[in-house]
Amino acid sequence: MTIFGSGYRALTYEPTSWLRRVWALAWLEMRGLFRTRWGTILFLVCQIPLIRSLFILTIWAGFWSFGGGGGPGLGRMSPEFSPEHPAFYLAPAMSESGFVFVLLLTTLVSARSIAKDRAARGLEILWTRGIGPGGYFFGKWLGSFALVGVGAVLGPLAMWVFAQSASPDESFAATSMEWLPRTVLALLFFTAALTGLATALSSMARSPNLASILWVVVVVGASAVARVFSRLFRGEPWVRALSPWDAAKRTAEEIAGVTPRIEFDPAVAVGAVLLYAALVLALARRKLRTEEAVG
Amino acid sequence: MIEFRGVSKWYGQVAALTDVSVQIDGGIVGLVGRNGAGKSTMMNLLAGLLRPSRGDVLVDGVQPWRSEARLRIGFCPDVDSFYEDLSGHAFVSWLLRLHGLRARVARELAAAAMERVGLADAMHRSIRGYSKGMRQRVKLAQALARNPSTLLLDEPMTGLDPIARHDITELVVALEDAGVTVLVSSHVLQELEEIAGRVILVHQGRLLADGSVHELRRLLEDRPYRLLVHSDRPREVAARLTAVEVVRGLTVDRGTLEVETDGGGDLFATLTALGAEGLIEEVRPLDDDLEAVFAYLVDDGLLSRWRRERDREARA
Repeated sequence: MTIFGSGYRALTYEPTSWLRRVWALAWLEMRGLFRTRWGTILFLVCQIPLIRSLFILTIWAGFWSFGGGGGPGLGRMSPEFSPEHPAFYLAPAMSESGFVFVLLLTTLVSARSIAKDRAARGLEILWTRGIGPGGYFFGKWLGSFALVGVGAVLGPLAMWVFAQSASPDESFAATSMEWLPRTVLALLFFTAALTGLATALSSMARSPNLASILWVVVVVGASAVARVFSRLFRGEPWVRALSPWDAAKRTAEEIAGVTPRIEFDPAVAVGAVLLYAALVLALARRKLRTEEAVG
Repeated sequence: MIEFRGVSKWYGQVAALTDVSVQIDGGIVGLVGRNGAGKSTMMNLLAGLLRPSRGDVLVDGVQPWRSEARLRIGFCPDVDSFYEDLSGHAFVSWLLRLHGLRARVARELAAAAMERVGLADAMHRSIRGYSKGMRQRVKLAQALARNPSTLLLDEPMTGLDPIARHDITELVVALEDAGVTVLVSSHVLQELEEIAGRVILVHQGRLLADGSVHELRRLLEDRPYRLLVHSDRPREVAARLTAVEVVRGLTVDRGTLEVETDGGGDLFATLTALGAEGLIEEVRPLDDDLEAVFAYLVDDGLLSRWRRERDREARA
């Protein structure tokens, strides 16, 4: 059909890649937190574990000296304080202190991502754009994964680059290259699993606040239940896997090859993560269908 | 061009549409029906959000859920669904990018669309601060931004003030002039009378009537209806109206008079004369809404009579 007059310019159809369309969604999602001053402040607050690790790194590199300690002496306190150990790079996301901040960030970004569109009844207008429920979910997850990954994956990687440049010889590079790929993979898995679960849970809530509460209850509640049950059922490997957080963390520790903080069978942890993912994705699939109502 | 070919749509055991066949070659067409009649299902099928259980839906010969069709269809939903912290321009531009358009092209098209709907001055302001009318225009802008050949407007006038209604009416008429096929759904018949040349009435998932606004109006003018007349001297007015042939009944209350009539006839001439004499202050139709129209069309069997007359005229 020819369109003429009124400033109309006919658009010719050009096939475009699915990924380009999904990226537009992910990019907006990734920047969403920075559109308000409070969002930016909260993002920076969530980077406290990373800043703490960076501070330790500067001590290790000899930028600061506290009574002749620092440097290699830090590693004797705990592997988490030694940039020569993979646990140091896992700590910002997976340590006890990192838990609070990663939980806060996933609650603010991933857990609210789909719920806010559902609350605004904005899903259908997006699906007229050639992005189906699958692409929409992927775009939303990708955006929140990229944002959480800035602190959880890119930050530790940048610290490794910094440690590499601060190292006096090439021995650091030689030894760290043995564990770095596995560490990065572990961080990618951990971030992807948590943001994925939070994004899928987000699709089940009718408002962003409800989704945030649901996510916190699932993570904190399941962790608490797992702790209580682990005392009741001593030695049972599946009990700690009741917590999605612990299951994802145990799997990531296994990938990175570090000594786990909580020892339980990694196969159970992997199975639990897969089960949770399958469960929430199946529920999300139902919720993301076009609402069918007679009218 | 829009085509429904024997389309049925079921939601489980419930039939939302039953064997609907209709073709729209262009112009502004109104889709009217009560709540739950099947309007939204038809709109969602055309927007590619749903697929028919049986039959085929085509827009310019292409099934609307296919990628090549999506650029040709502009959909303006009835609900406000925005990212409130984005500006109107950023929102429209972002929706265009979801089609895979490059950022620069999307920004240009979004700016042109915002200008077309009269939001050029406010397009960089946050949507949160927009009025109801401005929000409606943003929805229109996002539907128009891709320069679609088919525009689907779901209840576009809801909640608008008269000025915003006028502006949107003008815009829709201009789009028709530009060659765009516009399908406007509404449950308020009067809204469509101003813009739509053709009206499709849907009832319980079936097409009830399909014809020009003039045909429908002629049909409605002949139907029995009630009028409420405000007067200081209702008994005097009642005495004059009893002489009018088409008046079937009169109920006098303090200051008001309810008139039941079989149709126009001499009634309006008499009322005009009474008004000129200062006996009448106001005349208001009591059942001119869509419910009354449907009750008349469906319950009184007049629709089938109308159809028979149309068929006879067509054969002649």
